[in-house]
Amino acid sequence: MKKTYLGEFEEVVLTMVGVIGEGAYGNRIVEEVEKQLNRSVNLSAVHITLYRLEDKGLVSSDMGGVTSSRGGRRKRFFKITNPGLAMLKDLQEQRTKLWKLIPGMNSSAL
Amino acid sequence: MEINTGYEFFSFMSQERKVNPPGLLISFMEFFCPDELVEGLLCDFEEQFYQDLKSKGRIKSNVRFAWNVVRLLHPQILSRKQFFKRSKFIFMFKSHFIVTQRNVIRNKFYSFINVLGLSLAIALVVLGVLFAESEFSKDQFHVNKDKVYRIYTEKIKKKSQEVQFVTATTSIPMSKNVRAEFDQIARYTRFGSNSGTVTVNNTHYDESVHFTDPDFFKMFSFPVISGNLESPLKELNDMVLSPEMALKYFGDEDPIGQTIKVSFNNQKQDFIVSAVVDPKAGESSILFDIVLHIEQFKVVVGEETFNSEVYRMLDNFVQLQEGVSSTDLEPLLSRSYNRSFENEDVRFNVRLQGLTSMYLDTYVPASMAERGDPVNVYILIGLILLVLLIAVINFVTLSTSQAMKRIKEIGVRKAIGAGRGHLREQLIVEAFLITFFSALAGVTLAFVALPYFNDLSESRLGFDFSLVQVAILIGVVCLVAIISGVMQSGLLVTIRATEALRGKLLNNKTKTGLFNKALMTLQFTLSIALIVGTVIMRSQLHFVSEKNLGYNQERLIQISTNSPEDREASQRLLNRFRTEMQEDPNVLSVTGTMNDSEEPWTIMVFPQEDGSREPVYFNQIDPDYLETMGIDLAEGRDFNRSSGDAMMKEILVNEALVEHFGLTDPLNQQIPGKHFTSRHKIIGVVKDFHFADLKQEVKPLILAISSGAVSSGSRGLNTYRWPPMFNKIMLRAGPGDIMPGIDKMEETWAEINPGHPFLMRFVDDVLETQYEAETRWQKIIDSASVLAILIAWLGLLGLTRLSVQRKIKEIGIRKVLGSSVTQVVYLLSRNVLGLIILANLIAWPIVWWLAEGWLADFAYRIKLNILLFVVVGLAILIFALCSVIWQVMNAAMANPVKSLRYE
Repeated sequence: MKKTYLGEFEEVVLTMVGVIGEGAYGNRIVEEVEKQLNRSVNLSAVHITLYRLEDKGLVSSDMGGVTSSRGGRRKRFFKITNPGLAMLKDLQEQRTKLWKLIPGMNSSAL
Repeated sequence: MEINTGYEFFSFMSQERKVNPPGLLISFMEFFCPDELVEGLLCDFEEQFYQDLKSKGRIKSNVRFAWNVVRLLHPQILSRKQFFKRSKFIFMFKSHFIVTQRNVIRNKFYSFINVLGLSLAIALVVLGVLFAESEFSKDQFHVNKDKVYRIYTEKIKKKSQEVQFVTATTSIPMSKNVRAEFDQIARYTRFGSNSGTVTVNNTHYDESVHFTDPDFFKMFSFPVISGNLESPLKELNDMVLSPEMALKYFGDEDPIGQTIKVSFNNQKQDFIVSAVVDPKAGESSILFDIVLHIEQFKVVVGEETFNSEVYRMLDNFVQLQEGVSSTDLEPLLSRSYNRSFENEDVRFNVRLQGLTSMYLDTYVPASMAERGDPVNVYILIGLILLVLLIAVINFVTLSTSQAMKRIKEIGVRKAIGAGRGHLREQLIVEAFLITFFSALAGVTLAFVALPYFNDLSESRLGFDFSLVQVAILIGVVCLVAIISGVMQSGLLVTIRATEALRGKLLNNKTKTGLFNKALMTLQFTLSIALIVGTVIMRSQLHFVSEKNLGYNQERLIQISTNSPEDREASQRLLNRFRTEMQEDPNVLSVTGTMNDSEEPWTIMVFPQEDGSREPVYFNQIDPDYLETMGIDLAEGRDFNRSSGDAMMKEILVNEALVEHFGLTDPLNQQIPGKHFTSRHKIIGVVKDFHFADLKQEVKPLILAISSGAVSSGSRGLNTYRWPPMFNKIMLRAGPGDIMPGIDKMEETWAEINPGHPFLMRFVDDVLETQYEAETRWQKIIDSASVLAILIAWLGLLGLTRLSVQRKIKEIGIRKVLGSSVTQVVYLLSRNVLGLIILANLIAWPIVWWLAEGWLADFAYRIKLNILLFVVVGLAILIFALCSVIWQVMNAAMANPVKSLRYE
């Protein structure tokens, strides 16, 4: 299998799905990104990215329960999968490794 | 739990305000989003919408909702939609594309012929559309185009109600008078011309000068490039220049405010350039270089003519008031105009010709404005369609014949379940792709060829990719693709899958074979028709240019006298020049003339006893005219200087005049007419010579030493040259080198006529320029025909090659069994022979009929000769057979072992 790579925005969205944990859905992610990263993102862009991540097997989704209000539309909830978590972890390790290689930037200096 | 709270909160909000996201956008989303995603997406979108509604207001939340929907149009979403995913649209197109690509690459030769033929044809279509567009858009750029009309008159015989004469050349006060009489007319302007000598910084130029009213620039929308933008001809001594003239006279200097001397009738006057106006900015049939105030025309034609309603000198334009219809106004104008003709047997219809239809109106003869010929435009469009048709036929015949090779592909497709629809789709997509690429190549080709085409057609066409141009191009591409795709598929998809898989080749007796033969015959018919047609047009124009004009145009030189002040001055100039030149043995004779071959000759109208008005051409000449021009006398004698003053009352007439008036013994008689007060006498009859262009027959003509001989009987004049004087000196040069003689002439001229430029031309050059338009059209039509024949020939090559390839084994077997090369060649070329003979039989009568129609316009025309048809037919036959044999020979000469060993 080809190794999958993540784009910057994909990484943000994937991380956020992980951060929120249970009950992550499109609009919630938009709000969370705004809150945590102070960055305004488009809801459709988030959805498109979520489906792409789902295609890559990094998140999984299922429909929430039926509610009686407003025609009974259900939400699509996203959950990070084990490969997704592994991917985030991998990314983190790579980054720390590289970080340490920058001269004068070891952990003690931080 | 949090989630649900939010949900309920927002639903409460929506009930409160009754605001929902736009339903149309939701429906649109439901349309393009995959069903399984729609619900989750909408739920999120709505949630965001209601949040926004609370914090940002209605407009902003709607905008964000809409933007969300737009952002969803992303391949990530679209590709999940079943409609697109399952649709054969994208999937099949990809397959069609690949198959087409493979086919093109596998059959490089045939693809090359197809694409070359189609792209040449499409390039021609592009150029033709540009050309036709410019012809049809003449004078359409004027803001007032729908309100501006040109006045023209129809002369009607009262008895028979027959229209005798139509002309747009009208009298000078015409439009001024009707403007004064009718309130329906908002503006008027006159447009006349004369030649004048222009002097700038002591350099002389002989130019054509136009005269018009200041309103000219309000009526027409010619862009004023610099100078007085409001009223370019405000003052009487204002002058308007075209950009070309401004550049010619002043180069980079600012022309505005500069002084230019112009002399008419030897009266010099200073003019000040007030504006530069570009007549060529739009497609205009009204062109000018130098424009002066109409009042200056008085100096040229004289006070009497300027105010006369009888002398027709120029074009009159009127602009009608808003809402006035020209058809309502015409009877009023005619009634007013005819008051002065009540006692005559003719009346005039005063008609209004719309500015927008002026250029291509064949009913009204050309006057001051340029006129095009719609017949030529239609011939060109017809030719282009023919070329396109030939290219399409190539495409169809080649593709179908070649498709025999693909019969297995079709079989497999059918066996795995492709229906006729699928196969048809494949063929149409293939045809479309090939046409599309040919169109790209064709447009590029047209782009590259445009400068050459502009040179050839002396036009200034440019690409502007207007809506019309693009629409026509797309139309042509689709039409070609659909016609050829449908034709091919119609033939191929009927084949049964089993037959196709067994590789049963279609032989010539099947539908396809017959159909291809019919198309090939059509192609040969068109090629033959084109060649014969082109040859006929060429020989007619050659006939016209070589026709004996009745005078000798070789080594005949005309020298402009630059408008001397009066007849006596021009006579003195002529006499001095003759005396000087007669010392030169190379100069045979010198004479003077009022009219020359560059412009229509003067017409005098002689009212008759019975009330009719007879127009007769008139020319005032010097006694040596016949000798210098080489015109022969039919009877009587030439003018004789020794007869002194008696000569002033003598006239010569031509044979056409004698015949027209039915004079039995013309010598010593008079021209019939009721107003003649002074005696004149016909002393001789000259043989007819062509003083007008050869489309017209020779009309009645009077030659006189003085216009006074016949002017008493004249009650009407139509002329470019007035008053009568020698406007040109004609000189006949003897054999030998002509150039030293010309230098001598120029020296003499400078001596006897200082301050005037020496402007000479060879008469045969002048005559040639008269046929420039025809020659130009000839060139365009020649090129289109050559292209058509080339494409047809390419198709023939392709088809022969295909049939040879298909029969390669047959040839091998025949040779093994003892056939000779000749027999094999005969076998393969037999078919083509029959087709060409059939094509000839179809083409001949059609071309004969068309050519007769075209030739009917000419007063002097060639007779159609069946031999020409036979020769062209034979030539095509031999040429086609040679091409076939050239291809067949290889196969016939080859060692049969090679072709048979193949399996």
